[in-house]
Amino acid sequence: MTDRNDLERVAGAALRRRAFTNRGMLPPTHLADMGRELVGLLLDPQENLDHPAARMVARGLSFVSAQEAGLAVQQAALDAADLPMLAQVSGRMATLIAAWHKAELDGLRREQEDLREAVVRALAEQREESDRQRLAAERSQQEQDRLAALVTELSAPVIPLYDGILVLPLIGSIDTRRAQDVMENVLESISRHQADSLIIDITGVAMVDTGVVQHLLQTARAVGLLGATVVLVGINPEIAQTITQLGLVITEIITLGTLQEGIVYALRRRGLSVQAITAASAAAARQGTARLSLWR
Amino acid sequence: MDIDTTKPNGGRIYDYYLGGNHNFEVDRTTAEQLSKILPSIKAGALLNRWFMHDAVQRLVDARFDCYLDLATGLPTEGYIHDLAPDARILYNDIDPVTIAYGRSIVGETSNIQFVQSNIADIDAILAAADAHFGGQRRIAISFIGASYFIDTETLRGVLDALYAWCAPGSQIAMSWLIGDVNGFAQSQVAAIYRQMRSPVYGLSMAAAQEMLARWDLLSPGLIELNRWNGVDDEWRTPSETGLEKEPLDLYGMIAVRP
Ligand SMILES: C[S@@+](CC[C@H](N)C(=O)[O-])C[C@H]1O[C@@H](n2cnc3c(N)ncnc32)[C@H](O)[C@@H]1O
Repeated sequence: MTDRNDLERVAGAALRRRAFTNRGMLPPTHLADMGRELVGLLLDPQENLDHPAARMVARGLSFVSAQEAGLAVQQAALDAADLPMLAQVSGRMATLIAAWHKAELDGLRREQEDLREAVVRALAEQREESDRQRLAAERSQQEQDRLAALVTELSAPVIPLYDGILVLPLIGSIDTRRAQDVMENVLESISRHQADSLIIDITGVAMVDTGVVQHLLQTARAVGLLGATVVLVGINPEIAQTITQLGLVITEIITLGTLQEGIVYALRRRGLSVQAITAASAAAARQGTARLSLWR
Repeated sequence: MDIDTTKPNGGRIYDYYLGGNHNFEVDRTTAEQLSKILPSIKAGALLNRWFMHDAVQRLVDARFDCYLDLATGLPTEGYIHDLAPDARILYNDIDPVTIAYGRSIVGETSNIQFVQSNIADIDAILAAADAHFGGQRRIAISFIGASYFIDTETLRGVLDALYAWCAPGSQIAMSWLIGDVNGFAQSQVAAIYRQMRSPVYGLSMAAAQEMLARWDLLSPGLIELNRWNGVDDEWRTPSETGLEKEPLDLYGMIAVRP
């Protein structure tokens, strides 16, 4: 079984490996505490991950190091063949990532606002009004461009779950431009991680229409060209209905109900057997296999 | 004073390395270019700032209520006034732009003042300290991330002046670049800093110890900043270290004026 203290140690060690990605206000001597908090976020009942994520961002923890710790905890769960925990941690990581990005953006906006005020005040000491406005306008344009770029890069995180297995949690609405970004990001990640499975989790997608399905199919085809397989999870009944009503038939993508089932499937494809050592995880694993439906 | 936001600024570049957002496109671009030439520059900035946290926290725990900070840079989140919110603090920098931003970021209150001055002109800084601290001379001094921008003779003079001025029981936290000075002088890194017109001066361990001879070092002594911060031995990238050991390393210490 996975011991809580061990997990906290594992998370703390992972944070320390990525210490240099954290900000100046977070000395590595604080990382053991952070590791404990992060494990709490991943394992304990939580109402809302937004606030704790925002707090950690404010304290200087980088997304990269948080992700490293999340992966380490997932690995520990996998080593212990604790499938329910693996699924819970992966799910939480996906939610946490979304909360994280929001908090980072908020922080960026706030600090850039501070800086803008600082510049304006400093300039006021010595420059004419007209000069000041011209510069402020240029600055704010640059900041907007940077924000836009950041939003794009943050909106499609591809998470390595395990050797060769990537998860892409899609959240919010998807338009053509975003789909394009997602696709590029995905293809780049697949070749970088030499992945053979990509699990796309659409639990968080607000609306599915023909366009979205079209994009997913396109992505699946491109992924196939790289020798990897797409597994689509998180299709709720309404979405399933929409897909049917639209007269769309998904023949090229393997679809499964939940992220957990997706993980089981991807692991089996790698020839990895998950040795369930608790009754609960054994049942979950059996169920996963039973509901495995290939729409081919 | 020339506040030109189209020119890169040292304080804002440093902030970028620390993961801050108090910087502009021109600063970020320059920072990235610098990082390409000197890959360890970001890690070095972090090591210094983390050390500052730890050291200042120890000064706060020792209940100092006056802080003189030499070469402040941008006092962004988590800087001394955050760690010691009720203290009287005198910030210093040579760069007027950095001072102007600093004033604006923290606001100049009766507790926090700024003095724009070259550290070499330590007498002017100490006069400002006397004015701000109301004559209190048993104080905490932080001199972090800057000693190596000052030539050896001047640095010795600054430390001696601080020693003569401050009252017994005062403490100083400081970071250094220490190691094989001759090896460094011939290195490419040294040449790059010289080209940037901001030469870097390393010290031999013996020279640093001699400068500190009159002060009482507190535990854990004068040690490498990566050890102080409990991170990897090898904080530089392989491309920079090559096969040989880097001639200089960052060190930190806290000492008491007996
Ligand atoms: C590395 S940054 C400051 C680091 C900051 N003390 C910290 O611990 O994070 C160095 C600052 O030293 C300032 N500086 C460099 N030479 C100086 C000098 N001779 N006198 C005063 N300030 C100097 C620079 O303008 C820059 O803002």
